[in-house]
Amino acid sequence: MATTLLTTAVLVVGPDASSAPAGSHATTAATDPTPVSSLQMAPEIASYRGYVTQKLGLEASEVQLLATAIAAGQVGAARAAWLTAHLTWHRIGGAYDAFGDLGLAIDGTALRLQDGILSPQFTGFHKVELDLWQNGDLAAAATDTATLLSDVDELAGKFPHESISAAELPLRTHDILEDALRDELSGDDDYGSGTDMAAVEADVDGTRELLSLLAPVLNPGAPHLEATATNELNKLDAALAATRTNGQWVAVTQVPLAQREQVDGDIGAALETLDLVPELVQVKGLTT
Amino acid sequence: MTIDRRRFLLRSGLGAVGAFAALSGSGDADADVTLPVSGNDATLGPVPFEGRHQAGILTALPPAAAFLALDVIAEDRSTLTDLFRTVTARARYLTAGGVPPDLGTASPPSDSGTLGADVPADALTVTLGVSSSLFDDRFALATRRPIRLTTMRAFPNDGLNPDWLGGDLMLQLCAGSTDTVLHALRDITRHTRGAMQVRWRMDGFISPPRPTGLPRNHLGFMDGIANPDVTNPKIADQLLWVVKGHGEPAWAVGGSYHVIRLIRMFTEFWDRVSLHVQQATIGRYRASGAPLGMTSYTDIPDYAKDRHGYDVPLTAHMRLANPRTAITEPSRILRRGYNYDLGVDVNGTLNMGLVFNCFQQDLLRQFEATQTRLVDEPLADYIRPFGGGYFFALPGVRNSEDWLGRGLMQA
Repeated sequence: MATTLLTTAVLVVGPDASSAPAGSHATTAATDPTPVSSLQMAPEIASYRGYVTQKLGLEASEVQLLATAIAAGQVGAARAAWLTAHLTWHRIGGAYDAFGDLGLAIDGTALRLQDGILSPQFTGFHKVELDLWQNGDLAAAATDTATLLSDVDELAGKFPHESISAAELPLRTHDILEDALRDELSGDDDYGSGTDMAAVEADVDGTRELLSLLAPVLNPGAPHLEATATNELNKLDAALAATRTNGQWVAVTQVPLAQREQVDGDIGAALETLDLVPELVQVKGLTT
Repeated sequence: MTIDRRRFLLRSGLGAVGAFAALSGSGDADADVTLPVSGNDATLGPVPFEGRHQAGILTALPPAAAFLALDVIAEDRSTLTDLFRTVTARARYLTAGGVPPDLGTASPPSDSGTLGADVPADALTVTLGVSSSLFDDRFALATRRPIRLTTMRAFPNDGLNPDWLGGDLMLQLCAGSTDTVLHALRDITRHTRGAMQVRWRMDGFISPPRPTGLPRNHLGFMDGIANPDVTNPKIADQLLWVVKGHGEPAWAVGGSYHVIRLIRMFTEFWDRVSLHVQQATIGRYRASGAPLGMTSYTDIPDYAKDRHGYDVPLTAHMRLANPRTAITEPSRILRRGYNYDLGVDVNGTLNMGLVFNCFQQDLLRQFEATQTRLVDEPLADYIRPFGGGYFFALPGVRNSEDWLGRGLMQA
């Protein structure tokens, strides 16, 4: 989200007691958050780097399994492998251009592209999804998976050496689920697999990871926030699980209204709590 | 495809005759009128229909609007000519107001009746534009295309939806209230059946100033503050109107390039962001509209003094859109934005945003240059342009014999 903003408007992210939302969520607002320096955040950043690095290694191996299933002509196995690999990407928390152009190449949709799904820039998981589900085109899936694998490998190679802004962590704790609400629960990024609810579940995992990582910084100023958010994420997980029919994920638009409303309401409630994180963790300084 | 041409032409003739007789001579052919915006008055007076330029461009913004992209389904050039004449006749009548003709009991009423027996003008303006698709091979108009009229391209942060793109014509209807806009919309579409068909439509509204200053958008910020002073004819001829000597066809002089961008605002997300970030994203204080570091919304930011962006961040929307340098001055545009509000999405979020609406002399030099500066701005996270198009607002109707598109069709 506001990473570009922060390059010029350093330190504008901070608490503003007067802007704390009214209602039940206000109880989680801290009155006196402690500013945190980038240096103080070094352990959290190291943990985050370790988490993402480990998951990117897993990601590469899962995309390799996807490639193998496609090469063997096994559509069912390929679809299952695609879902596994895609959920790992969501657990990484690659929302909101977290990984720049490479991230877009890996999990971008065709929405932003001039020629939509026909654009040569439409690559990555959603292109392979289109190949496997809508087009039934294993040859295209093989080519597109090779591209995906090379992009994942490139990212896995680069990421451990990338600088990470301390301010990214609190922002991402909020943003992953904003992304989920906008792109997944709208069905906008469904290219045939109907697995958006599963992707949101993986987003919840990624959010939990960041939340627990930031807990030592958050808790002094906002002792109840982690517990409140965790309860809300549990509720959201339960609502997501309830949308499965006979163990299968159902496309967002096919989920019965009452179940969808529960998911949409629960993610909204969680977001109203998580939005405090960037305000509570006031990061001084830019990157480590 | 068959066109019910009889009905189309019959309807075109009706009403216009009576209205002309009653109201001819009410327009001042060269006046550009600025109307006060009034949100709550019952009705506003008429905006002169005739002029060197169409109304609805320099005219101050009344609170209600509709934007209709229409496809021409007329099969030949003479039907297209009839269509232009019909739209002109209806616009002439509707913008003046008056008592609609009584067709007797053998026919459905000539008017929908939604504005009562005596139709008020209510500041209605009807502004018609054409897109590049009208200059394809259907009507042999290719050689007459305004040379800068292109098709809207996808910018990097766009998420364009084909359902909200395209159209051969753009009809911008603005008026003092929604019922006046809808009355005009029904009247014009009724009289042009078989010749054009609505492809997409977006309604817009402008809020009253809260509490003073300019109206606010759905992000809570005042919008449309820094428009160029196009009431100065010299500036208008530099930034707004197509003038002689730019390689444009002679018929296009007096027209203006019209850009519409339908921009979704993710208001739930925006509401979850701190005021600091909101203000740094826009570059103004939310409450007062003043540039950051200043006191009034009318204050002009001094970017030369603030060159590191300590007051207004270098990536603030306001600063990128108009950096206020000599180099960027010729890229300024006249904005006439309207808020839109369109129910809820499948995920339960509110579908609301902005009908970004602007006029200029040159699409590439102005709108596209401005939009290019805004690529990947921080605001891009909270909005998504999903539709719209590029159009050319035709030159105005000079007198009671003139009609919209006459220069184009008879060139």
